[in-house]
Amino acid sequence: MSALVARVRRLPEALTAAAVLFAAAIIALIWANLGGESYTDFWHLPLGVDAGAFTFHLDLRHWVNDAAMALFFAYVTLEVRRDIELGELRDWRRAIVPLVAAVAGLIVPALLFVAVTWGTGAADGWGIVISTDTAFVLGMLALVGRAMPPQLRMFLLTLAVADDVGALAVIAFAYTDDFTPAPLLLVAVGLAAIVGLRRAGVWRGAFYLAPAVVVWVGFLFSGVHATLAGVAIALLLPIASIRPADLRRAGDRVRAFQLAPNADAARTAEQSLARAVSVNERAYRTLTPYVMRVILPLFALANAGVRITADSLQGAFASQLTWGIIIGLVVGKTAAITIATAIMSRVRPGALGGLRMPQLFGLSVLAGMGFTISLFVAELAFDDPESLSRAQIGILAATVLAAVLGAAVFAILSAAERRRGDVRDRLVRPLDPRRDPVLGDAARARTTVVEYGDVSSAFAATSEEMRREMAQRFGVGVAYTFRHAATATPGVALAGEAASEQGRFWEMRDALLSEAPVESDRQLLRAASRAGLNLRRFRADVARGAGSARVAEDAADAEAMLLSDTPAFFIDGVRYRGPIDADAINAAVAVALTATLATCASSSPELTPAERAR
Amino acid sequence: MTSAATPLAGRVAVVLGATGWIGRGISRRLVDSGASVVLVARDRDRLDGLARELDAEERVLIVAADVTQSLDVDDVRAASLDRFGHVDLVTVLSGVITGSAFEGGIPADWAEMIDVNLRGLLHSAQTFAEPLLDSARQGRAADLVLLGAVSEDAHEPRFAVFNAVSAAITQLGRTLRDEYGPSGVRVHVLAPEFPHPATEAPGRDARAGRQQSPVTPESIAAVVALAAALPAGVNLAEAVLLPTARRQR
Repeated sequence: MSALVARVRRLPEALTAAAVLFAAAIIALIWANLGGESYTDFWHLPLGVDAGAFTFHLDLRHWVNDAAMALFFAYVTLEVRRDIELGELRDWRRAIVPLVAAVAGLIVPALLFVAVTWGTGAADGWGIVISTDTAFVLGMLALVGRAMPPQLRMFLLTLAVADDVGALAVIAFAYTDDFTPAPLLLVAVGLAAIVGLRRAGVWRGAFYLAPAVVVWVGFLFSGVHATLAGVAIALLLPIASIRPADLRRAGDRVRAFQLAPNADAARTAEQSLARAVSVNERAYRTLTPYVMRVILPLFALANAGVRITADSLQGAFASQLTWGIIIGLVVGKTAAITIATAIMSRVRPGALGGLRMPQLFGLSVLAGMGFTISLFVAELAFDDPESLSRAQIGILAATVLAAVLGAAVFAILSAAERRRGDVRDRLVRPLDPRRDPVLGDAARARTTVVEYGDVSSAFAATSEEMRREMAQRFGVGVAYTFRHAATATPGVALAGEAASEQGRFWEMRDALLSEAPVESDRQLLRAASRAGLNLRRFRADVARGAGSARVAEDAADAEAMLLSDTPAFFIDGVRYRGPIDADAINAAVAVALTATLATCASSSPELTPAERAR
Repeated sequence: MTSAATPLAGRVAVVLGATGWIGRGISRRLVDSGASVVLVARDRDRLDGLARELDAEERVLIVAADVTQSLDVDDVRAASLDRFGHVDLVTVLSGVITGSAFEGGIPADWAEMIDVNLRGLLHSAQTFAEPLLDSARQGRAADLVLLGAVSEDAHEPRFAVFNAVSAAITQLGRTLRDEYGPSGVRVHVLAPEFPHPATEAPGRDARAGRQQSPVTPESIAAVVALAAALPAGVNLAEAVLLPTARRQR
């Protein structure tokens, strides 16, 4: 039993989340079909407050769907904002393909649904088929797509994020009834308070709670769906990349705590650590376990309980509504995403960044899993129990069908991938002292280390520490070089190359590091001065783009090798997959060096890797 | 345009180390000779004071900078060109001096002298080489003035390191003269000698004796003005200024 628990703990987060969600859906189905009305009765139990003349009641299902789900939508919005400001969506060139695919995946299934249900009056349910269940698909991908490149997950995340934005808009505009504008004043007041807190630099999440509740109540009374409160609030939460100043301060406080380990110092250290990360980031982290382990399963439990009898199944599979949903989700999503991606990859060659069409086809099949938001919209769209039941059966059938078909596609792909061998972890361009700035003696080194990184990234300090230790520990036995990752800031990369023209790449790298984050040309000049460069030549070299060819080559190589996280290290041409800290990397280098020395000793002791290659 | 009273009218001079003892004298002389002057030193307050004394607002620009920082020097260049359009006279006077018996010398003092006197001068000369060459190309006189050692074999007990650095500057000036002469930039090395306190009194104030020195900042400034005002084809290459009643050693 404990072995099982340990195994579950080691599973990817996405997989456990999907498993819990799946379990909740199964329990709901069993519960609803136990006979009797216990399932329906339970979810219709009223819960609320009576305070004098003021009474406020919602039934349990609405507490889940309107209140708890507000947190889910806030969570989704936080993820969208994070991606827009710091992540994949920031790079328009990369994001455009999944964005177009997501839009197609919203429109085509809805059109198919309307076409199938034409003339039945069920066409109102078109919102059911527009959205993919992010939690389920991420979980499925983690389960069946383990051999797939990490870019596929990023593609899916971008797609899911755009898809969620569309779904949120549809819920807000198409499924809002009994609209009364007055309570929106409450919303405005609550949001203003949040903006005020943000302006005042308040970083403790707890202070945002009271105005958040006010916003929620405002939305609820206005008739606009109350979950949009989560969206509105999450849109306002501050987000920013980590500021080095905050990071340094946090580091200082932690050191102070080491020197004087008392409660005061611990508190200060904790606060400065929390402060170094934006509210958005912390809210996202805090919400993740609740959303994944509590809210989504609770929602499934409250909504997936469809009474399944021979009659209801027969009715459902004879109804255009059910088929509309199945066709919309399974056929519509697959066709829309595959075709849109294929067209976009023709229009913009290279925009897929190393992903191949069969992989994207598999992903688009999985995207037909439309569980959470589909059930949510079905609840909003249909009042009569028969239509609702048919819609729910359609959703469950489509979700299961999409999951099974997607799993089959990925099983075939994974088998093919295994036959091809794992080529992703090989360095495509060996260290070349004629083009790469090398630390150590490339001719005599027995082991090479190649880093793809960005000098202005938060991990640069690790690289720096690793490099110093490496030089101390291995001397000339290891040759080390740095290349620019595709995500490297272009200006900074070019400054490094201009320094390289004067043979001072490493000095420049250290100087840039102490300037990080580099946001202005002035900082580049200051770093150049500190690195001891001839400023006139430096300026001229930067202006004429000296070394831009190397930067472009590095970026293209990095993309070809699908390096998404930086820094990425290659030790003797093989991708290092361990933790990014100086000790771990140097330990891996030591292992590689020992192995090389052992081979050398058994063959010819005086041959270097370069000579052996000849 | 130029007259006997203002032989340097139209010239743009940069004085690095303007607030020092010699720098003040040279700055005044240059302003009085009609030149526009960029005063450079580390201390902004002292620069302000000097600018007030000189009282020629339209021809004086002050820039606070540390010559050991190449970017600071580069900023001086940019500010000078921005304000006056060109630079054709650069005087590098920034320097520190500490003395003691060699075995009692403080290595950090040596480092400071090498850093300010030599490296700072290298930054200054390199950074202003381009504007000086530009001025020469446009047919203007272009002058780089350095302060060097009186002679290579000068016997200055207790100032071994300072003298070594000064000799290096002299040598640098000679080489630069060969390098830039053909392009029309004149490099001058001036070597003033000041009586040093004869006593072996401890202390780091090497400047104690110079208030009574016959070689004054004004006399050095006169030579700078003379060198700069000579026709472009001739270079007053080196000048040694000694007290007339100098004791033979």
